Amino acid sequence: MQVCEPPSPPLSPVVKCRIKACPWRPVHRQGDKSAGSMNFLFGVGVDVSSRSESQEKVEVWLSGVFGNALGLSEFAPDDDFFACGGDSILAARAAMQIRSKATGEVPLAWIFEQRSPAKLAVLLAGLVDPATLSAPAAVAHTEPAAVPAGPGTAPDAREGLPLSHAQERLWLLHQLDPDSAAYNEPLVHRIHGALDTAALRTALQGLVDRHEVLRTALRLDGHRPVQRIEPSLRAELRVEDLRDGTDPAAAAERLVQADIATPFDLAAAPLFRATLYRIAEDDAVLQLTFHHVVTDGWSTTLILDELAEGYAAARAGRATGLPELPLGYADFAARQRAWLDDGVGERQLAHWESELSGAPELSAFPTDRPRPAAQSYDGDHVLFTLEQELGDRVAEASRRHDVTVYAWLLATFLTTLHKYSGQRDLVVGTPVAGRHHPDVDRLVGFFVNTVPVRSRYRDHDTFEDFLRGVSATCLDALDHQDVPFEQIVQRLGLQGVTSHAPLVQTVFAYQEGEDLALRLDGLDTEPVRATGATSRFDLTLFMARQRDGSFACDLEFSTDLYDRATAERLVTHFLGLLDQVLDGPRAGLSRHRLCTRAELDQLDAWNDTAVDFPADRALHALIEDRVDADPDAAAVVHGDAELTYAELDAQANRLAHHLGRLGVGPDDVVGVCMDRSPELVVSLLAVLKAGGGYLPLDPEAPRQRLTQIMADARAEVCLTLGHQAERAPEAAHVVLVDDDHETLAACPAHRPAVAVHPGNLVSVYYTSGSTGAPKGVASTHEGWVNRMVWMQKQHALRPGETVLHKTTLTFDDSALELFWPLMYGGRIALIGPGLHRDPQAVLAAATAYRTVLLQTVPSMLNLLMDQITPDERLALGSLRNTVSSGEALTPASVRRFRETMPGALHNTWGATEVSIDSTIRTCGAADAEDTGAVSVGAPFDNNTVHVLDAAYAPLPVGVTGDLYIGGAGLARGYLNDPVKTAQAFVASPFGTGERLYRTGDQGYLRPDGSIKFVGRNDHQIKVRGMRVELGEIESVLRDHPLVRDAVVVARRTPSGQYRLSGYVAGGGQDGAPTVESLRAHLAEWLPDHMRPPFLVVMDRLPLNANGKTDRHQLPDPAQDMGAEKDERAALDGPVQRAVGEIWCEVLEIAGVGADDNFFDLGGHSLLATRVTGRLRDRFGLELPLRTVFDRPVLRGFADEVDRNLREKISGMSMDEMRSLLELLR
Amino acid sequence: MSNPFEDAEGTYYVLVNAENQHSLWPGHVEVPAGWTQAFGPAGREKCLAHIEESWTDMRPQSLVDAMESAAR
Repeated sequence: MQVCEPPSPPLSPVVKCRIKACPWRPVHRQGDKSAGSMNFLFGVGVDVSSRSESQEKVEVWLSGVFGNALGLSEFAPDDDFFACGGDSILAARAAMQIRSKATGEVPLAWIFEQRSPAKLAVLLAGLVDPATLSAPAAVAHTEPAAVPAGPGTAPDAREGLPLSHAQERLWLLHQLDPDSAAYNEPLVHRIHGALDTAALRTALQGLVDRHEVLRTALRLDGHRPVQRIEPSLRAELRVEDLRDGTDPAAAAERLVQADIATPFDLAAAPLFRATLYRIAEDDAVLQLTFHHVVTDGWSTTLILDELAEGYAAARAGRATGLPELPLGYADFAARQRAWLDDGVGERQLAHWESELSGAPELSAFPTDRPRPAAQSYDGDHVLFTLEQELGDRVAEASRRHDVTVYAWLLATFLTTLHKYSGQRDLVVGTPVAGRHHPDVDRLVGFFVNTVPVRSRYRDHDTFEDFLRGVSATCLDALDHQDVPFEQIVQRLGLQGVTSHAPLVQTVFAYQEGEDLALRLDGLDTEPVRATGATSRFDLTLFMARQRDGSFACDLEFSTDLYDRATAERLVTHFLGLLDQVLDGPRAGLSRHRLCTRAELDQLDAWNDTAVDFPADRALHALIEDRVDADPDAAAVVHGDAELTYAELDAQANRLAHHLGRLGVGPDDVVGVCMDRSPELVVSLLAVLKAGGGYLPLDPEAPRQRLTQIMADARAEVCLTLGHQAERAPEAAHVVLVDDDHETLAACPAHRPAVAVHPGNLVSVYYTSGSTGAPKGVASTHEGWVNRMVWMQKQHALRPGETVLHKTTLTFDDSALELFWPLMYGGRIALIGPGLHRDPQAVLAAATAYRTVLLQTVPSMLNLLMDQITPDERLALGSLRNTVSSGEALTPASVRRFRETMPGALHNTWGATEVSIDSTIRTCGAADAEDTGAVSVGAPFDNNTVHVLDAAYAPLPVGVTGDLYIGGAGLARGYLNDPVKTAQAFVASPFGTGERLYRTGDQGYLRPDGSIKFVGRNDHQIKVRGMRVELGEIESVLRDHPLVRDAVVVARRTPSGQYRLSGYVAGGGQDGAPTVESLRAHLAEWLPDHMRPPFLVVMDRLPLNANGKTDRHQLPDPAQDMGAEKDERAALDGPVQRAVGEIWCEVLEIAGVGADDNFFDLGGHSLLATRVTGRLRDRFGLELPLRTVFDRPVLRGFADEVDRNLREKISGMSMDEMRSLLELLR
Repeated sequence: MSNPFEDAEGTYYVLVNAENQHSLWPGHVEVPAGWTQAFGPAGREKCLAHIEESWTDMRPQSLVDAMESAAR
C-alpha cells in the first residue's frame, strides 16, 4: 500500500461564520495541524507530480467548488480542504456539486482521502469532461431550482404544501399515538436579573415572523398531510407568576415537566409553546417547548441566537441585524421531494438494501423485562458528563488516528453494544443534520434524518481496526444520507411492527460544539437540562460536545424494558471502555473488558465458596463409617425386603471380592444394568469397594446401544439380574447379582483391601453426544463427596430418616437419593420398577415411607401437583425439601408448589460433568412472580460459576453470556475421549492450572448474585430432564440404509415442552424408507425420549442460500394434523371423539385419527398420566395408567373407555346417566 | 453470541497444565497462569488432532503418581 503524506497544509483564515450544532463534524478544522493523512484508512494514494492541461482545468474547477463550499473567495489547488475549515457537511456539499458534473460514482470518502483539488483531480480523470466545466460563479445548485414564492411574499395563508419526508414520518407516528409527548423538544433556561418581558415578547414574535415553520400546522388534505402556513401569527408568551407560592422553584420544575408531557395537536399552529415562570424578583425560568416536527438540534442554536439578537434589538429600539432568509422550510420540503424523486432516492435506497442485507432486525441487547407486544414511549434518562480532561483525551486520540471525535465515540459505544448483546453484527441509528445547502443554514426547521450504521465485530480486531471500519462505514452512510429513514424501513419490509422500533432500536446522537447559552442582554442565564419521561427508542445515547471540550451526555432508555440501575450500569461500562480504548487502542477488542474493578471484586466474592470437606476420602468409605457406627440400622427398604447397614456392607463386600477376581480394580468401569432393587444398591456399593466406577445402564434402552456404551467405556463386567439378563449388553463377564447366589456366597464378607484414591473414578454416566455417539462423563470420588457433604449441610438428614429412591439410575440425580442417605445413617426406600412415572404411585410411596426429600424434574413435579389432594398433602408431612433439577422451573410451578405441597422447594442447576449440580436457589415468593425461568441460584460449597463473553472475559450483572462452572466438582473429563474433554474442560483464568467446564448454557447474573438461565448456545435440548443432542439423533437416522440425509428439529409446544420431528431425505436407487422402518431403526439405537415421534420422509431437504439445511422451511407435522388435507381415519362416535379431544389437548396437536398411536404422536408416560387424569376429571372414570400402554391406538383405547363407561352406567341413576351423556355430547 | 471455543475458522493453541490435562485454547485469549502452550498456533482441527495423539493417559498426573506408588 502506498501511503501518501500530504504536505503540511497552509492555514487559511476561515472567514465563514457557521453555526456549530451538527453531528458528523470531523475534527479537522481551523488550526488543526496534526490532522495528517487519512489515506491509510482507505489505502488510496495519488501521485500528483505530473499534471496535464485538462487535469489542471479540473483542478481549477475543483478549487472553485471547494472554495465555494467553504465560503472562501480563493482556494489553491494544493490547499487542504479540512485544514481550511472543511468538515463532513461541507464535504458532502462539495461532493454533490462534483457529482453534478461526473459521469461515475464519486464517493464522499474521496474528498476525505485526497483533501486537495490537485489530488482529487487525479481520481476524477475520465469521470468529468474538462470541456463542460466552468468556474462556479456562485453556489451551484445540484438540487432542483427553488420553488418560487419565498417567505413573506404571499399575503394569504399558504396551503396544500407537501411535508418534508422527515415531517411525514413524525406526522404518521403522531397519528398512531396522538397522546404521546415523545417528540416534544424542551428548551429551558434560568434567567437571573431584571428581565424585560416586553422585549422578550418582541424577540419571540420576531422569531415567529422570520421562520414560517413556527407558523405552520400539519393538516390532512384528503388522504395526504399538508402544510398550512399562516401569513402571520401572534406569538404568545404565557407568564406564570409563582412568587407567592411556597417553594416557587420546585413549583416551576413541576410545571416545566407537565408542559414537556403535554402533547401537541399537529393540526393547530403554532407547534411550540413559550412560558415564563417567575419564581422571585429577578429570577425566572423560561421554557420553550417545540414539537420536533418544526425543529432540530441545529435549529436550537439558531433559535437561541435569534432570541438574544431580537431581545437586544428590542431593548435598543432598533431592527435586528439578521440576514434575509433565501427560502422557507416548505420550499425546502418541495425541493427535497423533487430531488429525491429524480432518481437520487432510488439510488440511495438500492445502496441501503444491499448494505443492510442480512442484518439483524432486532437488537439482542439484554432487557430487564420481556418486550411488550406494543412498546410505549415511556422512558427515563441518565444524565452524565465527560469532563473536559476526558473530552480532550478523546479529541487528541481521534486526531492522532485521523478520525472524527464522532467516529471514536460511536466506535466505543458500538464496542459496548457488541459486548452487551453478544451480537457480531448489529445496526444502530444515528441522526444526520440533513442540511446540504448553505441556503438552509439559517433556517429553523426539521431537517435531521436518521441513518443506519451497521457494525461488525471480529474478536481478533484491535480497537484501531474496528475504529477504521466504523469511520469508513460512517462516510459511506453520509454518501447515502438523504433518503428518509422511513423509506429504508419500507424498502426492507420492516414496517408495521409495534413491539419495537423498526430496523434500529438503539441510537447514537452526537452534536459538535453544542452551545445552549441564551445570551440575553444584561442578564445572567443558564441552560437547564430538562428531559421528558419518554424514550423514542430502546436506548439513545446523546453526546453533545460543549465549547469547553467537555461533553454533556444523556442516556435515554425505555422504561418498558429497562430499570434505571441497568441504564446506569451501561453508562459506567461505556465510560470504562472509553478509558480502556484511549489507553490501549492497539489492544485487541477482546482485551477490553466491560467489568469494572469493583464488579470483578463482587464476582469474586460471589464465587468465594471454598470450605473444607473430606477430600481425602472415597465415597464408599464414608458409608462404611456409618456401617461401623450403627450396623443394625435400616439401610434399604423395598416392599417387604429390608437390608440393615451391616447386611448391605457384607453383601457388597462379597460382590466386590468377586469383581476383584474378575479383574476389576481402581479406575475400571463396571456396567450396572438392573431395575430398582436392593441388589442395585448392593451392586453400586460393590463396584466402588472393588475400586471401580459404575456405569449405569437402563434395561429398557435398546440392547445395541448398551453394548455400544459398554464397549466405549471398555467395561468388561456387567452386573444384572436373572430376569433381565437378556436385556443386558454383551460383555466379557455378566454377573447375575441375584441368581449367582452360590458364587457370591463363597466370597468373603470382609471389606476388600483396595486402595481407592479420591481421584479415581466413581461413576461413568453417558449423555447424548452431538457428533453421533453418546459420551461418558468420568466422575471422581472427590467431586461426589463434596456434592454429598454439601447436600447434608443443606438438607440435614437425621439418622433413621427416609429418602425415596425413585429416579431412574441413568439420571445422575439418582446418586443423590442413594449415596447421600447412606453416608448419613438414613434409609433408602425404593419405589417399584416403572412406578417412578406414575405420580400417584410416587405420592403413595413418598407418604408411606415418610420421605424427607423428593428429587424431581419439573415435568414430574407438575404432575404431582396436579394430583395431590389436601388430605395427601397433610399425609406427606415428613417431606421437608423438594428439589427440582434437570430443566427450567417456571414461576407458575413455584406458585402451585406453595399452594399444594408441603415443605420447601429448591431449584438446582449444574451438569453431570461437574458432579450433578453446582447451584441452588430456595424458591420464595419473588420467584413465583418472576418472568422466564426461575433463577437457578448461586454456586454452593467449592463451586464457582462464571458468566463469560466471546472473549472469555467476565460479564457484569445483567449481561447474558456463556456459563462456565469451576471447582471441586469437575469430572476428570469424558472417558477415553481426550478430544471432547479438551474442548469442554478448558483452562481457567481464575485459578492457577485449574479448569472450567463449559456448560453450553447461557445466562446472566442478577444484582444479588443469583443466576438466570436463558437458553443454550447449541442444539442440545432437554426432554423430560434428560439431555438430548439433536446431532446424535440425526446421526442415527443417517445410519439407516435408505436415508441419504437427515435433520431433527425440536419445536416448543404451546406449553413449552420440546417436541422432536425428524426429516429424512430418502429415495436413492433402493427407494425411500417407510416411517415404520425408521421407527424400528430408531428403537434399536436410541432410548425412548430421544426418538422423534414425528418422522417426515422427503425427496430432499430444503436448503438455504448457503447450501445448509434450512430448518425454517421444514413443515411442522404437528401443525398439519387435523387440517383438511389430513387423510387419517375419522373419529367415530361420541367416545372416540371425547378421547380424541383429550388426546389433542394432552399431546398439544390439532387433530387425531382413529388409527393413530398415542406414542407415535409424541405421547409418553407422563402424558399418559394426564390422559387418565382428564378421564377421571371428566367422567369420574378410574382407568389404570397401564391401559394407555396396552391399547395405544385410539380406536382400541376408546373401546376400553367405552367398556368402562358401560360398566359404570350399569350402576347409575337416570339423572347420573343424563349428565354423563351431556359430557359426551 | 459465539463461544470462543467453537470457531471452526479460528486460530487455537493446545495448553497443558502440571496435571498433564490438555485444553483447547483460543488464540486471541491470554494464556492463564499454570498452563503452557504445547502446540499451536494452528487451526482447530489440527489442535484437536494433536490432543488425540498426545493425551493418551487422561488421568491427572497426581493420580498416576499415587496409583504407581500404591502399586509398588
